[in-house]
Amino acid sequence: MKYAKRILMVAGALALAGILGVAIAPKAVHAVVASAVQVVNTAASPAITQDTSKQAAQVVSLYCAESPSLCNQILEGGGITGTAYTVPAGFHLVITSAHVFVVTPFTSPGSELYLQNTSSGEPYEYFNVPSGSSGASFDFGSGFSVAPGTGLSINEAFLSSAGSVIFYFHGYLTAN
Amino acid sequence: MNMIRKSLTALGAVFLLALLLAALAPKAAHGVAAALVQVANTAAAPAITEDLSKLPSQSVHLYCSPVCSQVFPNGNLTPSAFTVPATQSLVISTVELQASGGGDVILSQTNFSSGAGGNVTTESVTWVLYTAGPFQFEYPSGMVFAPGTTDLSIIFPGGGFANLYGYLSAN
Repeated sequence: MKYAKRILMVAGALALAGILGVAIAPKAVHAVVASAVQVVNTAASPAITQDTSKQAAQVVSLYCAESPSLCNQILEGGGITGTAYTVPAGFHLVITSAHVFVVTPFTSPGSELYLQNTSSGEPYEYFNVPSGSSGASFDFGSGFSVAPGTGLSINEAFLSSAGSVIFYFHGYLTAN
Repeated sequence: MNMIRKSLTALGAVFLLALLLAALAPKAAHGVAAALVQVANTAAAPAITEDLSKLPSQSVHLYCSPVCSQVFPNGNLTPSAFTVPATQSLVISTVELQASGGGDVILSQTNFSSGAGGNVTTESVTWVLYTAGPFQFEYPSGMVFAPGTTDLSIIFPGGGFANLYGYLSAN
C-alpha cells in the first residue's frame, strides 16, 4: 500500500513538472504542432486533385417537359426517374447550364417560361422562346443555387399558342 | 507536509488514469488530430495541381456514327463500341453534333439491369435540331454514364455523326 502511494506521489510530481514545462515552454514549440505545410509539387509531378463539382457522384442532370412540368432526374444507368426530383437534404444543387429545345414552334409572339420552386412558385430563371425559335443553350458560369428539399418545375409566364418545349438542366450537388 | 503528499497522490492517480485513457482511446481520434494541416502556399508560390478531369489517362473522346467508339491520343479509333470501365463513371462535358438534316437527335445507351435480368437500352437525351449543320452543346458539370454502360449511340434522323468529350471519374 505504501509502495503504491509512493508511485502515485511520484506520478503526481511528474504531472506537475509536465504542466509547468508546458506553461513555460517557448511558444515556438506550440507553433510546431500547428505548423503549416507547403505543397511543393511541380508541373512535371502535380498534386492530383478533383473538384467536388467534377465528381460523377455529385453531378445531376434534369429533364423537364412542359407538360407535365415537373423536373425528373436523368439516371446515369439510363432512363429518367418516375418521380419528380427533389434536392437531397444536406445539399444545395448548383445549376450550371440549361438547354431549351422547341418541340412544337410557338406562333407570334412566342412564349416565356421559367424554372420555379415547385412548392413556393418562386422563379429562378426566365426563358424567352420567341415565335419561330428552335431553342437555345445557356451557360450560367459559376451557377445558381437551389436549396435542399426543393422540387423544380417549369411554368409559363405567358403562352401564345399550343407550342411545346423540353428543358435540360445540368449541375452538381454541394454540401457547403 | 501530509497535505502535499495527499495532493501529489491524488494528482498522480488522475495522471495515471489520463495516461490509461489516452492509451485506450479509439485510433480514429488520433487520426483526426494528425490530419489537421494547413496548406501555406502563396500567390508567389502556388501549389501546382492538376484536376483529375484534365489527365490524359482519364480523358475520353468518343466518335459516334451512330455507335460510339473511343478515339485514342494517337488518332486510332477502336473498332468496337466503347464500354465505360467497371470501376469508373463517364462524365461527358461537350457534345458536338454534325447533322445532315433536322429532326430529333437521340442519345441511346445500354446498361445491365438486374431487375430486367439482362441488358436494357434506353433513350434519355434528345437534341431537337431544325436544320442541318454543326452544333455544339457544353455541359460544364457534365452528364454522367454509369460504370458498364455500353453501346452509347447518337442517332440522327437525317444522317450525321457526333463527337463526345469527357473524362472518367471513380468518385
